[in-house]
Amino acid sequence: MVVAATASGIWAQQPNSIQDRARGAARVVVASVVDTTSRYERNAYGDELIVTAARLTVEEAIKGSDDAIVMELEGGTVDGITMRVSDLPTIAKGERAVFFLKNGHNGSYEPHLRGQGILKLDAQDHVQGTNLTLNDIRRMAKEAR
Amino acid sequence: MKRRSLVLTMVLPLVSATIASGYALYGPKWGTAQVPYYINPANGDRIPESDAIRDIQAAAAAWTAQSNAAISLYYMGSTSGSTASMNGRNEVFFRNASKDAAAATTYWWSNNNRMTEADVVIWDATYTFVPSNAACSGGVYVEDVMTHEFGHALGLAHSSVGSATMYPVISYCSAAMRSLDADDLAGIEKLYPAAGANTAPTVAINAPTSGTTVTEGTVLSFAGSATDAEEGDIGSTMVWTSSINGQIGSGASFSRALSAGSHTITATVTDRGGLASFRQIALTVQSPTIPTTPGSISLSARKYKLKGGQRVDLGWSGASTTNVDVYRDGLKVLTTPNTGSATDTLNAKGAASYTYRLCEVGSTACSNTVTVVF
Repeated sequence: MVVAATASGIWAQQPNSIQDRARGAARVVVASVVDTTSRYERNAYGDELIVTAARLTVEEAIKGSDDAIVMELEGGTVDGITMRVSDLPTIAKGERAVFFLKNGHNGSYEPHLRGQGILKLDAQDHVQGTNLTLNDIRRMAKEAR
Repeated sequence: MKRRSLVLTMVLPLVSATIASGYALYGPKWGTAQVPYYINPANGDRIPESDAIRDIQAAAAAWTAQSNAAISLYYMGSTSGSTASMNGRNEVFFRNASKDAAAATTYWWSNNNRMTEADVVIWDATYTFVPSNAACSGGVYVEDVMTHEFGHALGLAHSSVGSATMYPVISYCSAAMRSLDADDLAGIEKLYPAAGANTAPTVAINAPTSGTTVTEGTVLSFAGSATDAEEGDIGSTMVWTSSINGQIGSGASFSRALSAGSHTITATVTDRGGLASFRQIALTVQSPTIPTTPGSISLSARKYKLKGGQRVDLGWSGASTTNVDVYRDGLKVLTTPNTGSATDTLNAKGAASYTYRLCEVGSTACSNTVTVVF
């Protein structure tokens, strides 16, 4: 999968602050994607979507435990068919990000506030496409406590 | 000038950190010059359905009327569709639900870097959506939200330019996003460059008329026409496909029978310059009424997948005719020799359930029903 800029939906209100995201999330972690598995799934609305389960290895727990994580999000590729969602980024093996997570199904997690819950990091620990740093996020997340 | 002062002020702590780079493309694009779409105008905000359709059509037209891009969105009519799925139709619908405060979400599918389908969900429980001809107080104009979403449906990602339609934040009661920004124009014209002197061909389906219903076995006459400004009559190059039967014919006219089911028939024509156009109609082919007399036929089914495609092995006993009819979900899908076994090769993917019944040909004796769930 290609790396996409941090995505969110079209919002009729301001994006949540880092403090708000941290406050509402069950866990906030700096983690890397170990692997991904995509499948078709029908949701409660009857949508037939491709869903990807990403295994994350936690490098740093900013909020909550540092246990390994399985995060599920809409989008992915199955048998050559790719499905994308306008308010979620793609996730690929090896990517590193700050994840704001809420509880999902069967012990898995989902991005809190959709695309706002995944801030991909570049090699210099900046959120991709911004000058926001990992240290900024750590500081702001701690302010939320 | 677009007004976003409220939003810009409120999001300053994060957005000010964004390094401006302008429009972004997802990668895949449509392979044709026209993208058809349907609207389900039912909504929970008491927007008259005619107003909803008008505003969504206006949003789609913005991408053609305001740009020189070689792409257009083509309104096919209303639909009752209300789910995002690969069903052969690009659909826009309202949903009385919320999704983390998003106003709308676009889902799209692609194969080999070509977009194949896009559906837009407008999250109706989150905000009050407002038609363009109504006073707005604390709501969101559906036309502006949909102009943004159609940008996604054409292959544009979010832009970091605050004045762009593809910027991910809209102000309450703002009518700014319906007007494309220079950044949006640069993005859409990069994705679908103007074709220079070449213009897209036009295509029409003259028969059957959309909405036609026939009984299975009926031979249908298909007729159409296609012209191109540079090449003249190119009807002989038309390609006809069915959403159920695949390619069903070529040229300006042909006849054939179709399988039972609800078909979307597409006639496509491509000129020598590579520009394509198409038209679609809906056809329904009904199976003869299923016999209902219970019989002594015993039916069993075994599900499995082969290379990801769904298949069902059927086994039966007790039928006495030479051939038997297999019904899936009430529609006859197969007439097969009475050998006691047959395979239904669905090749579908994803969660689904199918109910089977088997009947003797020419009699009213049928089996029990069997349901398989993938």
